[in-house]
Amino acid sequence: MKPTKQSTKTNQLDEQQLIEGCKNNDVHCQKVLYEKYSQKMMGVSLRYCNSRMEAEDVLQDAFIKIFDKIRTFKGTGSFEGWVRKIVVFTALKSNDKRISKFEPGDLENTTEQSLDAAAISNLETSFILDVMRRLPEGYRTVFNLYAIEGYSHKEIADILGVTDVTSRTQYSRAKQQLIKMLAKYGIERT
Amino acid sequence: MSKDIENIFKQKFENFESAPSADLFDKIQNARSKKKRAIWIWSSAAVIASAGIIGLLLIDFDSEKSNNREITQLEIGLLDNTELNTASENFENQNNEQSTSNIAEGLLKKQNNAFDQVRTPNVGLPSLENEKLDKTPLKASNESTSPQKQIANAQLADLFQKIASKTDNTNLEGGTLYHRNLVQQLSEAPSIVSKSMSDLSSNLEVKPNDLTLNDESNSDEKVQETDFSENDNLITKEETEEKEDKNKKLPIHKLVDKSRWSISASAGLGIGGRSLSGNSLYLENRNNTECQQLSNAVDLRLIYDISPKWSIQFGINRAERNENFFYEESDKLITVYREEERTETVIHPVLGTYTRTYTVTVEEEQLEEGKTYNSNNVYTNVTIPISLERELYSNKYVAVMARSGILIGISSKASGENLNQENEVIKLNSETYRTSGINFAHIGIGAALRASDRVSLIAYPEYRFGLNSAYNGTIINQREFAFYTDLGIRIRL
Repeated sequence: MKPTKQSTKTNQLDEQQLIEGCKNNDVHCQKVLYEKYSQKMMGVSLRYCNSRMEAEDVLQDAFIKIFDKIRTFKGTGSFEGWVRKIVVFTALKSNDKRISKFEPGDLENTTEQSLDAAAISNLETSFILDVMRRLPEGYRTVFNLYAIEGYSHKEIADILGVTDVTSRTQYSRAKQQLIKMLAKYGIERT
Repeated sequence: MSKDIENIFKQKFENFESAPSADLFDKIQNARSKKKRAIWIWSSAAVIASAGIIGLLLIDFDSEKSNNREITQLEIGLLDNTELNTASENFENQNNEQSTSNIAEGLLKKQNNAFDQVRTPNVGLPSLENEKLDKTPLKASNESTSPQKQIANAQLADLFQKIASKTDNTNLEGGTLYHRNLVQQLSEAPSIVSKSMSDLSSNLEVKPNDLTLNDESNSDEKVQETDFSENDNLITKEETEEKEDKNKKLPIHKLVDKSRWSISASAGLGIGGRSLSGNSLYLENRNNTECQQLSNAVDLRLIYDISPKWSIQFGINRAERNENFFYEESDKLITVYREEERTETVIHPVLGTYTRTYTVTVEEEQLEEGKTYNSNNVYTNVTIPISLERELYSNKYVAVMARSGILIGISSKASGENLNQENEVIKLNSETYRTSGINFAHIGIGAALRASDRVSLIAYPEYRFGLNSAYNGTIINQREFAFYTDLGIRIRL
């Protein structure tokens, strides 16, 4: 996925050059890299945090880590994926205590509710984000990791230190609660 | 429907962007430079402090003791009549020259015993200075007495004078006296010494008989005393006024019953690290995945003053070194085997057509995405510190000390993750750590600020370094080091 906004400087340097420059601690390259990814990563950070201020703190810590650890990037995978992973993990770390509140739940007790997909797709992303923020911390984290980042429940279980079942339960409940909340805010059920 | 919703969410948020604050990049750069600067400052401070302390400890401060040195505080014991009698015997045994310095010498000999029992007079400071008087016997005559001995003699005589003249404020059971800037004055004016001694006798109300001095044998002394009186008259009015002014400035306190023991409690933050042995690739991997974070230490000690300037300390110390571990595994191809049920239709010439179901094991290669590890590593050491402390400087309000010693391990543990030599992530608590033994040495320079008679506030920056590997029985040699800022309190018991 190509970035939507690119500065002139970015155009002059390809990603490999940027990475090499950052590895050599070149501030110019760091700035270009930051400009290239900061907005997208702010979007990621906002999904995990309760406020914009908190999300900026996470983004700041994540970019410090990115610049410090860029030497460890071996270039085998997507650089954006690597950056995103660091942002996600930094956000998770900042929410560490809240995440530890996970408790195994009963998957069978959850009931699926339906919602008009088209109605959701018409909603503004910022509105959905606001609704997502109303989810309990644990629900939101699992929902983000599974539905948006694309991690499997086993991977989520490893990351968060919980069981597969817990991850599945949390996700299921998160989705149900999200649907309820979206419905409450004006989306008609089908 | 459920999948639709998931897809919508994914689609909506996949490209969701939001602009952060305009100054966030500057904040990132500032935070990074602060972090780097902090590491440099801590490292430099540790090196400079270590070099300075080693240098200071190697210098023999005793050799610098000079006549110009101030007596900051002196504690003396009671000289009772018996002691005065003994002093007078010394006086009688001297040559015919009945200088009052001989009396002082006798007193000094007795006083040596008192100094042997000197308790650190420090009211809170670790070891405020006791002026060490020259304990070698003084020679009989003023002519043959060295300047240093004269000073000692003068000090003693003057102190007695002060005790006697300030009995209201001084506990004669073991008076404590603060005495400043009189050394030079007295050494340059022996007549004042003589005056002091005569004042001492009168003020203590010790009769001549108590001193076992008889008129016949000491007629010369009488003459001498008369001479001193005359000498007193020679002291100009200005000199007397000046001396009185100085005396007024001398703070004289009641004796506080103090012991040589103190306790100290301190705690502080710091930053640590580790030196590693191993191949360069392993070292690079470890260095790239571990990032030092703020560490902390708590220290509780019992201190015993073995001399006015030296003390020995022991207690218990708990230090926690923190680091962040971040490692992203590479994606790798793995072979997986799965059971697959297959069905086939068999056309048999006799049995006709039928369906057969069988199970086969299928071998597949899958790309497994590398995991990302992000953990906080905590290395905790509980040790018994045994240290020797030297006081470098002190005055009434502050003292500067340096100490060095060893830390004997009693407990050691670690939690978190790091890489082994195969580049695999391992749990730290699965490793065998060295617990007992002399694991660390430490060196520090500190300052104490007197808060009250017994209590001092202390700041004791300290550098500690491992004497052996943290791991037991592995080929990896990992030696820990850290720089801590200990802030706390010291109480004289």
